[in-house]
Amino acid sequence: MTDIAPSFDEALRTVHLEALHLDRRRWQDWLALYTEDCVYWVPAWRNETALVEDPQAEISFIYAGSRRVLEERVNRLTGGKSLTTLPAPRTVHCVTGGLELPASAPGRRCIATAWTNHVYDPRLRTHKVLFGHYEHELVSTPSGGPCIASKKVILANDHVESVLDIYSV
Amino acid sequence: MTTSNPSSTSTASEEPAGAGRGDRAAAVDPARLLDDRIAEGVFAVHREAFTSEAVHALEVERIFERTWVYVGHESQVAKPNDYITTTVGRQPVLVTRDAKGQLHGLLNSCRHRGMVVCPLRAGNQKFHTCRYHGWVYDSAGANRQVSAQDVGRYPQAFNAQQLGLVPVARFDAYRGFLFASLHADVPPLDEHLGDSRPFLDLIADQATEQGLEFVPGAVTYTFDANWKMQIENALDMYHFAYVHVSYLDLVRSRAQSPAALPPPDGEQGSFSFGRGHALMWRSHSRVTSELLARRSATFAGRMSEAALKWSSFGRNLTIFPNMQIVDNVSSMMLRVIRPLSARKTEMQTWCIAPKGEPAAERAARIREYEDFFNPSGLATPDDNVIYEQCQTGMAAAAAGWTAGYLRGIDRRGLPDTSPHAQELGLSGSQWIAGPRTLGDESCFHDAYREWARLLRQAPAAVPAAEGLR
Amino acid sequence: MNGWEAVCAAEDVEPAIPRLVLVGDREVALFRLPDGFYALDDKCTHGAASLSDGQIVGDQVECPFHAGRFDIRTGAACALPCTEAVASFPCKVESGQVLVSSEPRPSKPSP
Repeated sequence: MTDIAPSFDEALRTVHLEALHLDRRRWQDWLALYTEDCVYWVPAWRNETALVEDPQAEISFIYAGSRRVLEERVNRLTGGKSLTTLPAPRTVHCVTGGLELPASAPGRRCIATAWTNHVYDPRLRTHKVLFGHYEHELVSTPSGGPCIASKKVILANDHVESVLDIYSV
Repeated sequence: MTTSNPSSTSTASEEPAGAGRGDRAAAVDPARLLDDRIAEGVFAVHREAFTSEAVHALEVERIFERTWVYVGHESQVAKPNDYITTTVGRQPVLVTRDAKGQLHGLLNSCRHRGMVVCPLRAGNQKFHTCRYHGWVYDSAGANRQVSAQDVGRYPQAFNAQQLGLVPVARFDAYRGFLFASLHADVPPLDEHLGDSRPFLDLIADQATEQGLEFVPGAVTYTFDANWKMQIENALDMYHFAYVHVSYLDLVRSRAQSPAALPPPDGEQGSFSFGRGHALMWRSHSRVTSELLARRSATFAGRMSEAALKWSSFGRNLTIFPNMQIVDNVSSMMLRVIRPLSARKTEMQTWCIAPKGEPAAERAARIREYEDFFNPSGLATPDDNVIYEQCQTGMAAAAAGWTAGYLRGIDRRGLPDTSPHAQELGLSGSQWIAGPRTLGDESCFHDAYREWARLLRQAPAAVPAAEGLR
Repeated sequence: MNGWEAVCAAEDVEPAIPRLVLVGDREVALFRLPDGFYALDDKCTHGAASLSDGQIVGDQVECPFHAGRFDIRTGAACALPCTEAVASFPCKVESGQVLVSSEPRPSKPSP
């Protein structure tokens, strides 16, 4: 980690690259975009209008406090033992916008985007759409290229249809 | 040749053209759907029970809108004027605590033109004002104002005091669990719950002095399958090693040492309490000995030794028809089942926790809950996909009856009364126990017997509301 | 009855919560604002609501039935559906007690 935050353009490109890795199911490439001590967080909603704010005291859909936890998920998705990915659904993430927000710490670039994810289940031949906002915080790595230090996924339509995983949001 | 799956994500139930409700109800014969001849070693549920929209319509009317159903927990309406909204069958219901502290179950429909008076899921309000014409109800449901009544030229018999929100026919609580019935002809709640009560106690007794609470954060999900698959699955230990193998792999990989893993031996069993309620238990949970020791120390003062022992067992409790509590020891979950159609079910799920729990323990509990019980976790989504694939398979009507309710029927060598009946305070429940791999299915039987009993009832007249006759 | 009536101790009135008090036979809603105590007739002019059940929003009280508002100091109706002012009563504090006059202030037209 260096102290110089990645540029806005580099950071936004990484946000789009992440979505592409998910759609192409390049899970290892996807994991490699995250720092070891990353936070990946999909909060639940407290009620109709307020999101959960403290993942240690309130329920989240997904809370991973390190890349290790994301690796566990990827192992489960690719291990052939979870019915949720036999077969895996096809996803198309549409990530738009790209506004810089104040970062939480020096050395980080915070990018806010809006996302729509179309999920097609080839077994059931059903289509569902999930959507919301992302807040990514990216840092620079010595080896070059930005890395995701934190990702917050705000899921607008939280009435979950059967399965929700890292590729759903 | 592959064909499009009929159980697609359609939210509306598809009705046969021209068939009215009466026609569909008349077409359902519970006797044809359940083959209950235990003495001959036969118990089977017809596939149509899962696929027929006529059955679904009758279930809503004669089960969900007819018998006691779970509507909330007192901690959700802890303060005067607190409320939550829910449904009983299709019917919107408001559960409130009035200004004096008394709990009410009310039909959430304005007496004027039927509008939902309280559209939000929860909150705190002294008065509930209908946004259509401004009629006002207080938190006990009493009508406090009919807008411009004095100039409205109402008929002489009009009496606003008789136009409060209609209370549900029966409303009662057991250890903080709130239940309602839309019909009065149900036994008292205590009698209805029967021997399930000691197992509700095992949840309620985990409260601190401040009580229990639902951890904030709402999770609601659907699956495209029949609700009865959920009833079965939570009582089913047989599926665990197959469906949740990816979760078990993960637990294994997280364990610091082999000693941290649950031993391969242990017991599994079930109780059937009557009126559809049942419990499946297993003597070993997947928690660390450190967590068990901590719980022992916490509960020793307020639980008997037997209760302490049973509280360390994994327990899956079903209170028919719409509530399940699963205590995995590392976390506890309460969920409500709401059938939307024969092929679609909505679930709401909460993490129950003792109030005032230390922050680090609460955080650990939440992570365990999220891992196992969330539709975004590592176990429940696999169950949801299983139900959907079962729903697809159920359409194979030509394959006839399934053989899914036979494990546990052979009771040779087992006494009539459970050896644990006395320590649990049970008065006569059916039981079975065996090795960890027992995979009992006899604990599903009671739910289907109650299901059939309720479906066979004559339709009840809709109770007349006060003030309109 | 003319004159002033002691209705409660000043410290018993919280800034954020109106208090229902009796002045003779009349129910009155008592308010504590940063600049002193104010009293309004408890009954909303729009309907049967009690203003002491209402919510204080700045200098105004919002009726709990239909969210109409009145100025706490003058009783003037500030937000629909309320259009008619409520009576406002002078207050003073003596020896730690809040006194409310039984005679309302002369009424003012609503803005």
